[in-house]
Amino acid sequence: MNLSPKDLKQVVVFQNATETELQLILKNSIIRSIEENEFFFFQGDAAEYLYILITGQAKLMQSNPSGQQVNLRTLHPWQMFGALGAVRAEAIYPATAQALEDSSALAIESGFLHKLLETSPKISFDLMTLMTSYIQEMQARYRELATERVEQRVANALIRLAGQSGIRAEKDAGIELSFSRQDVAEMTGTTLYTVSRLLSDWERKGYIKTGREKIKILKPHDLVRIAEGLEK
Amino acid sequence: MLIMNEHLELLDLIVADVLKSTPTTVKFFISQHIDCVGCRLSHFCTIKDVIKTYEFDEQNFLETLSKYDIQQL
Repeated sequence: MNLSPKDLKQVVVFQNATETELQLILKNSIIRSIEENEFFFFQGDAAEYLYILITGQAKLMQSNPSGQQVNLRTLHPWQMFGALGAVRAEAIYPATAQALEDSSALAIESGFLHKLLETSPKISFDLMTLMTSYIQEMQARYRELATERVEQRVANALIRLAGQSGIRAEKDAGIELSFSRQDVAEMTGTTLYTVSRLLSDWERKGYIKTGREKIKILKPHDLVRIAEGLEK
Repeated sequence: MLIMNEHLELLDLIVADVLKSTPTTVKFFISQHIDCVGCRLSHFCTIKDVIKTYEFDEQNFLETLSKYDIQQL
């Protein structure tokens, strides 16, 4: 696979980078391809590379010492991940990156990007923009965890997943999500049992339809009402 | 008698596109107590979905909406 500077312009952090900078980035990076369910890196590894997903889909997840996992976010092509090492010296990855399907990513040396950030304010600002948007997203999720009922949290998780990676099915057929009940449980800090109970209830009411590793939102309006804690 | 509706092309427009391309419609949506303004799923719903969900009269709704001179994205 051959990448050009133009391809890299699709990466938010590199949208304002110069042609020379993009060439340099390509020169200091390698492409890593991994199969479904394999890992780009593990939580706790030294953050020697940062990645840009090129093809496929991956997830970032974090686990606590007893092994319970939470999904932090789903990654799509041209999104950057694992960039901590470029900002902080001797950083370790705070999360694990696992491929949800056969995927490939551009691996850029953290030390190289660190040097580039020192000389390029535009790339630095774009990285800050990305980081602040992640912080805002995490703040919203923290607020949900602290204040919302589990029903709202699960509805919010489905809406967030729809916003990030939902596909509008053919006419009148809803929004398709490729996530399992277990994924939703991990995202919302609840149990598989609770998620199953809620999804079955919503399915009975006709709001959603569930299948193997699939959830389809049939009535987005009703789900948003639940997420916002409003009566129908 | 066959009633012709001239604004059927509006039915398939995505709500988010309408709000973005023609911001004056925001006021109309709010006045009708439609929750699409600011909704995170508005790029998945069409005008047709709105009419169905809120049980509006299609003819009347399209008639009013068409007055806003919707710009196609």
